[in-house]
Amino acid sequence: MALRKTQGRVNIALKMLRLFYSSNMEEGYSGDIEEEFEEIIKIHGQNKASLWLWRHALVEVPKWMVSELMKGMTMIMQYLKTAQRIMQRHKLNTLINIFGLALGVSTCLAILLFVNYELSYDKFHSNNSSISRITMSGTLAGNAYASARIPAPAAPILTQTFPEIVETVRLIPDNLNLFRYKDQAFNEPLFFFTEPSFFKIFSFPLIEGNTEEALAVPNSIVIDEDLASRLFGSEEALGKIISFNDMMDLTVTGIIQNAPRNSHLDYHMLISLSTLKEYWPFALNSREWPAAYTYIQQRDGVDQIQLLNKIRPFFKEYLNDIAAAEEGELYGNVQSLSDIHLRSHLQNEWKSPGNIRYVLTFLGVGILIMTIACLNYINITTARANVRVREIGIRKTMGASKYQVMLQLVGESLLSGLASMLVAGLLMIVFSPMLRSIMGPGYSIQSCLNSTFLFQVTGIGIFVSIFAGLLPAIQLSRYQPHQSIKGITAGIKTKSKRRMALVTFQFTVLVGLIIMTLGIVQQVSFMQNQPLGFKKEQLLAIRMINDHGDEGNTLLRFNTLKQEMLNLQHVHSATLSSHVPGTRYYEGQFAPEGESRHTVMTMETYQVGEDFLSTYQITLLQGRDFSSEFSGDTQSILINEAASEQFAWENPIGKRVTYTSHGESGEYRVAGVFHNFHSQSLHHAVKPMVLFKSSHCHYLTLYLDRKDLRNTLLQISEVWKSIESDNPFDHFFLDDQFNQFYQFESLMGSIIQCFTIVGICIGCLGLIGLIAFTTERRTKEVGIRKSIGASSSSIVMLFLEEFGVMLIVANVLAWPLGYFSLKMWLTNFAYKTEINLVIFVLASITTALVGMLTIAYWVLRAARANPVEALKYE
Amino acid sequence: MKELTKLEEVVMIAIWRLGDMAYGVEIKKQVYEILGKEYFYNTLYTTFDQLIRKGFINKNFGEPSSVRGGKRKVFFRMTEMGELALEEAFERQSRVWGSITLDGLQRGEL
Repeated sequence: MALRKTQGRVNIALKMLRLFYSSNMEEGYSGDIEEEFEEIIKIHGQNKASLWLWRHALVEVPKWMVSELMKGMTMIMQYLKTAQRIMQRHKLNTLINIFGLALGVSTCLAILLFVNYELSYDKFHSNNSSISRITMSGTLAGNAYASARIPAPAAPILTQTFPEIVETVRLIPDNLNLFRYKDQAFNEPLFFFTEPSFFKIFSFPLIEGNTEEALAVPNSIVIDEDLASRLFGSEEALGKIISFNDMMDLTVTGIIQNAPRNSHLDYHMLISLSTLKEYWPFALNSREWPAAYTYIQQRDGVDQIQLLNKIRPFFKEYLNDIAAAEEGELYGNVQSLSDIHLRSHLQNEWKSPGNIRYVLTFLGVGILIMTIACLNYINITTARANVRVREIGIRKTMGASKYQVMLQLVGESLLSGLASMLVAGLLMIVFSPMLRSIMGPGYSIQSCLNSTFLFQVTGIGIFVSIFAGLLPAIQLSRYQPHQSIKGITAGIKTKSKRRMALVTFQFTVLVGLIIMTLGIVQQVSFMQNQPLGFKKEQLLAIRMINDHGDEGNTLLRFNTLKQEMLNLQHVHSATLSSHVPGTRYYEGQFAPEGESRHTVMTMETYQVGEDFLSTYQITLLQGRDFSSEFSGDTQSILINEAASEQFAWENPIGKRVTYTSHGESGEYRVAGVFHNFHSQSLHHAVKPMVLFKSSHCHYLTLYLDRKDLRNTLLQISEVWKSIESDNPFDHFFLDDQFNQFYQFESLMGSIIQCFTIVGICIGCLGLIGLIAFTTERRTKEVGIRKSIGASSSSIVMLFLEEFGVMLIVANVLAWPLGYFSLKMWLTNFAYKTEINLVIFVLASITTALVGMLTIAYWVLRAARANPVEALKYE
Repeated sequence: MKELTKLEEVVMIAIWRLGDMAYGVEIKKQVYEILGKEYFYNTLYTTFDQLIRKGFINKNFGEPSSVRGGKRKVFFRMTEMGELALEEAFERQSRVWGSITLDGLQRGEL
């Protein structure tokens, strides 16, 4: 009864007491306590009794625990002492062990940071798991078709038809456009036309303005913080007017936080979707043309697969007539938001996506490096542990159990593991600027400071040190004491098969990594140097600005500019075109003469001036170039070889095709066939291409020689200023544009390069550790050999022979492995280098050289020593 | 035969004295009476555990009653091996001390 009253307080004390007691005795134990407790209440009263209970919980039990612990502590202190002495005696080995492991761990951490960043894409949206993107795919005119965008009118119908969908948002991008605020003008492609539901679905917070109203009315614009401070400085931004393409005025209705780097949607501006009603109704209303990235938010608990099963047929129905016109079929697809960055590779993706395969490759390489580091550690520890057979034997004789010996060895390993974690942390901080420049925005030391990452790090550290310590521990603890004491020398093998196998494995990985590195570097430089069909270093493209609505004036301005440019000394020719190679491209549908109306082919189209081919120096193979002498040339087209092949005419010149775009069609005659050139990165094969003659253009391309480049550029910009004083001078060389395509590959190349260097370092450290050990064990042998007349070099050769065998085996294994993984990687590219024997030989020679030099250095030290010293040893 | 530690010996004697009534609270009192020092249950139950492992005592559950918060008592009973161990401990003790008396110790004579 009394116990009930004080239940609360007593329970806590009781619970604490019970914690320390085994469960099968628990009932009797707590019963006893309660019984005595009640007795004390009867005799001494309530307060005294609970005092009694608490005293036991807080004083007696801890006292007892401490005394139990102390018994264990003496042992542990003794282990620590031993560990410290051993570390002191084998300074070099300890250093190599700790440093090698630290290198491995820090590399692994760097990779983890990168991988974490790639995986974190779009996870910052608070309802990230219920957001999906609707895309479409299928076949059109016999070609596979998969678009990240769908026609804009589909979204409202989706919301009406499917109760599972709570909200939809459409984001319609446009090409480069001119924005102007007072005297600041800039070209900007990173913006969307979008609706107010944007703020409901995504978690991009508005800093100023109202999420309900910001994008509600036509001609409103929301800009990001950076742009706001660039344009308006510290002035109030809301209500300011920004001119759009010199055609319409947009009112700033909100400021939005900069989009995070790990968002696949990056933009600087959002314009209200309703603006399009006046500005570009086609994009808003066309069912034929996929204009809008469309995102949906599902109701909680809706199964994605079920939704997909409903949306697929719905879209098939919805797009049926369009697909039928091109003899194809189209389906709808549902992609979850978090899959877009790494797993989606559709046409018209907004931001060039990452690749889950690359992420996995990095992870794989990280694991390999980690494995090398671990193997090293195991190798050195076992080698060293053999010397300790005697110590273990004595410990066991004195009564240490197998598990105590294992505990000691694993504990020692944990100790150096923790030390190397500290060193790894230091390495990360020291090298963080370098890693940042290599890995880009994904790497930052701040991002280490979140709990999951720290958890992973400690996890890795503990796992590795236990794993690395366990093998020698198991092996050593198995020895019977009499064996180990009697066989002090028998236990120490200078040549252990397992150790040799581990070293061989390490070198296999190293040779393989070097092969991969060289292969990637070769492919990247191949892509950067591959002739594209035009001289990209000598072509300078300038973005032109149209006077919307006044075609005549625009043309006049452009032609004056072109003439002025041509007057410059180093500018050889110039041309106007709608696109230049390396920029976003445009496609149209073509139906060739003589085939049924339904055979439609999709081809890339450029609208160009008559001097396009001559400026780009592209050879004409058949027919004639555009010319001002032919007045009917606006009805002529030029096609490339690929297009000629696809049309499959015997003689293409003079053939007619029907061209359809944006719902309008016209008939054209083929005037000539030109040599293929690359308008896109070398990941893709050259596409069929059609050139129209038109004055409608966005770019002026100058062909110039690179003599006195600085001065020429200065002159060009002066000419620009004199004619286009208000407009931004936005220019680039085509080679820069193309190099951007290979950014990710060069990044990958340099990362793998880094890893390889780290790998080589770790491998060498391992070799040093092992060789230092073997030479020490064989000091006497070396001494005897020398005293009977062996030369230093012959002794070095003796050691090298052993290593040579391992090296040959490693190469035999690594070559096919390297070959196949390189071949697999190269399937990403339409144009690739031959896999060259040279890189294999180079990889082998590098590893052999590094390995042999390491060995030679250490062995030479032993071999040079006075044989008398060596003979005295032991 | 495994030997007994000092506390184990005292606990065994307590259990032997209590007979059928040997459970936690009573044993604790007995130990206090013998040694004049309070041992708390965690120590005592550790000792019970060891004794059970050595095979000197075994345990039985009593009937649940309302007194102990509804918890059953755990009774300990000496096994035959336990009795032998106790006897041996007694013999050893007597051998160790033989005919030495306190009086004699204080006076420094046999």
